Amino acid sequence: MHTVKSRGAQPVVIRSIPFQIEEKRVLRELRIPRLKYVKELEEEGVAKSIKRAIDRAYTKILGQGCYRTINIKETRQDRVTTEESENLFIGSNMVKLLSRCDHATLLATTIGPALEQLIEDLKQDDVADAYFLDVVGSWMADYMADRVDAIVQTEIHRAGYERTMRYSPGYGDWDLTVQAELLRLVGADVIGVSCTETSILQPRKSVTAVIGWERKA
Amino acid sequence: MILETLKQRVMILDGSMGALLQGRGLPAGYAPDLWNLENPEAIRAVQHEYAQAGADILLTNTFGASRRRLAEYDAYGKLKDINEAAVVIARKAGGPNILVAGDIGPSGTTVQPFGEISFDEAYQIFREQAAALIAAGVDLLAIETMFDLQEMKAAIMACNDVRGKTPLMAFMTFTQDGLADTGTDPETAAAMMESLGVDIIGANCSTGPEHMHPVIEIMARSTKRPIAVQPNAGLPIQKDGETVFPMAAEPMAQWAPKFHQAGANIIGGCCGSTPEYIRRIAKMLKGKPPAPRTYREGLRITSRMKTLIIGPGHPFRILGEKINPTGRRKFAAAIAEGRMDLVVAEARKQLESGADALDVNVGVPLTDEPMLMGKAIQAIQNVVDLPLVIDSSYIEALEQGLINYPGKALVNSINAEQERLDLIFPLVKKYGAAVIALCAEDEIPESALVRVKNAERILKEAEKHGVRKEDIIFDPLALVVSAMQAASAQTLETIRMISRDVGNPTSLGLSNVSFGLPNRSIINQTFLSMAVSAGLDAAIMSPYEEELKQALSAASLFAGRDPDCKRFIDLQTTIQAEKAAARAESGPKTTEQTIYDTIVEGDRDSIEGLIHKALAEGSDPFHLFVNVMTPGIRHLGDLFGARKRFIPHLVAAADTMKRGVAILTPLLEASGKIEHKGTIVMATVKGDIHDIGKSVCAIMLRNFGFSVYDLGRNVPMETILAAADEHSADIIGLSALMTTTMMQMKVVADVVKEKRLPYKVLVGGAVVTPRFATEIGVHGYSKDVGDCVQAAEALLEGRTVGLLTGAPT
Repeated sequence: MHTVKSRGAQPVVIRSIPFQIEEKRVLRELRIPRLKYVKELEEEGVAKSIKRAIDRAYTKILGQGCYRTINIKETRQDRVTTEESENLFIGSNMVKLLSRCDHATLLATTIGPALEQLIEDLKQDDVADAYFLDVVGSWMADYMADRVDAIVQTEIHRAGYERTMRYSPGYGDWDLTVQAELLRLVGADVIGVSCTETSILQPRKSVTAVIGWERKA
Repeated sequence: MILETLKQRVMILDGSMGALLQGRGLPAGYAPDLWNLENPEAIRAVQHEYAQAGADILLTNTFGASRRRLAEYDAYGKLKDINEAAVVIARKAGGPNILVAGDIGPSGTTVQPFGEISFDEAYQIFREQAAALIAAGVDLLAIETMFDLQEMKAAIMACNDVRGKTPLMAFMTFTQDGLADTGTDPETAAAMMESLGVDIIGANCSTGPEHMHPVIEIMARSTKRPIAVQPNAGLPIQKDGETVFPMAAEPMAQWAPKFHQAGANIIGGCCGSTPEYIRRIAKMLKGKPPAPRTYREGLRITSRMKTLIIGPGHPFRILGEKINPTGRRKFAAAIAEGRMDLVVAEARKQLESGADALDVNVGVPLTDEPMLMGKAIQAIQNVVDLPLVIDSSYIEALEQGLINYPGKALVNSINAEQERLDLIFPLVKKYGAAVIALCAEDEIPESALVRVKNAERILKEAEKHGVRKEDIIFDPLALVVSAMQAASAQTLETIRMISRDVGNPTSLGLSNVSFGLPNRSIINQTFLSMAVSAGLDAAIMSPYEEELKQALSAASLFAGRDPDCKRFIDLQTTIQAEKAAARAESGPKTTEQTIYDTIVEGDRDSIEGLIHKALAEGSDPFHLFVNVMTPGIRHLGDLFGARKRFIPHLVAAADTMKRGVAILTPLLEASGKIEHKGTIVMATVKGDIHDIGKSVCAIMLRNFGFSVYDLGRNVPMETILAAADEHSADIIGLSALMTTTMMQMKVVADVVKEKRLPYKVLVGGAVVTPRFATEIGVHGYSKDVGDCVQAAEALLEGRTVGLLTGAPT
């Protein structure tokens, strides 16, 4: 027998997400093509800087996430409504994403504030180090979202649905201004994630998103 | 009784309950457990069908009958009654020959360190339900559908606390990729469950038989315990608003003989299975003897996700010793402050250096060692997926380490002193750990014979405490050879005797042997090689010493630990490649040539020393800046333009140049030769807090002779214009990374235009595009740090840059 953990009023919270920083992915984020390992870089100075950023990131990242599955109520021309909110899934992209869905999982993840604090500390005298650390942090924010995404996908499949792509505020015509509403509904304060008046997530290396539960064709 | 039966024949478990109850009127979303009190006849009828179909074992209808799950229906107060009723119903349904298994499902939440509730809270949840089922008289307990190893551990430990001699069956659930939700592989799950005393180990739910079969094959090789399996009826689909499992009884039943061949002793079905399926598999398998199984011998320890086997025939295992504050002031201070950054860094470094497991010692005097051990274990397992050795003299610290560790840890250590055995063995048993046992009491025995006698005594005591022989690794005592030469040699004989006569694996703390002598490295290498030859299986040692690892690799060739010499050859190939690369890099160069290369390569660690060297050799500062460093950075720019180098190279080079220029600037200013290209005021616009890219651009512009005033972030228009006025700026550079803030760029641009201010406005940032820049009427757009200097130079020359063609100037 299985149960769907996330379909309650409280989010499912994941406190310490184990992680590995893949050098290949960091190099890709840095737009350095074709290399799999930092040690393959001919320029030793650049390699050292990237390695230093990765090593530092390991000591600063604390991955956390939360997710909650809500029920889709109605699909209209300009939005998809849920039992919890009429103003979350607004726009034609949301209609396209969720029109064949019975449920949607909201998720929020973060790597925590410590890495961005280190970036601030480094910026004065070590801008290159701050830059590389920033890139690693951005990749790892996505990584944490990928980890939670995988758990959500398992729930979706167990319940006999297909998943939609993962969609974040700011994509397409899903306006960034829904951020506050999304954070409220997913209960992201439990992992320390909020947003500014201009919808910037805090800590900055955080991700919010929705994944739809689509009926199989 | 069930365990004896399973030695003789396969047994049949029942099938799914939920769908059949829905067919009898259970509303969608309603907890089936509540029907134990509200509609017991429906439960009895379903279970009777399974009994009639041939099931030997019925699971009670109590999957969700634990504290938090029942509280969702305001039914927590009826927990005891619901569980008790379920047992009574199953007995009535099955009759006297049926075995009733008390079913315990997941807690309904996630367990720390990965999840929400504490280990103790999870333990209490499971204990409460297990106690109710035991009191109701079940024949065995069955934990099922566990997603996470830590939650499984809490459930098993809770059941162990109340079950006495009642057998325990436990099922982990795995996804289609053969791993549990939190990444645990079947071998690791089996090893951990076995070490915690689970009697029957299995997998259920989440997948159909096709994906579950390889899981069962792996589990059957990883434990000697009986194996149980309950697949779903295929992968689910949504039909008319309901989850249905499409696999029919006949094709599903065809998998039963395959599960039997794979080593399963108990076969049933999970979601979507029916009495018809049970009938078919009972017909095929009832009475059949269990299939033969193969098992890889060796002591097993695990992380959350992976298993390490220590013993003869397996590669020698390096247990990294470096997480230890002894004699390391900075490391100890960080731990004492509760900071785990150095611990994490050391863990990563040891992983990358080839350690197979990590010893974790956070023993700093006058600190809360238990709290620190818990913290360290949590921090390390977030970043490293190696098994951990929990190392402390304090039992409270050992326990905190074990509580926070989902896998099967290795406890360091016990010895043959009765007090220590009585203190630590119960902990090892309770948490299902393995343990390093020193072959000594309070005094260090000189002879191998006495040490082996100690080992045998430890094994006897282990048996009394219920700790398995296969969970003990003996430490034959690595003694300081300069102080105890004869006794040190006896260590090698102890290894031989334990390997040959006792049969347990051995490990020792290598570094001890050479203490106090010069050239410790050669002593460690020689002793290690001799110990490997005597049969040593593992060592707590440094994974950083390349020569030591080479000696180990060579010794392993003669100890049966490296079939076809593959690991040795791989190691040598890597070493040769690194040597060749190092040789290619070297060659005679002047200091100025080296400075040029250092800038192109972005080696910021070397530049300051080189600049000082060049100045000492008589190089003129202005010449260095103009004829060596600037061409270097421009050459890199050309390489970037030709897509042979990329932005990280620019960033590293900019920082390198900045450090070099910082040394030259006072000298250039004194000589009056410093070049001033132009002045730029930079800011991240109001409401936006991103500025790394801007900071890098600022350095690059300074390197090329611009005076840069960086106002920071979230800067209002008025502040930007005031600063531009104050510094007589030529250019205003604006950065924004959000669609919600980029319009602030237009605010600035509009005021500059309306008031006819003399500044050129340059914009950049992830959301900014040439179209946007053109539409808001600025003078230039810079795509990234790669072109900000050229953009600024173009603006100084009166050109627009980066805009769409036809844009007004």
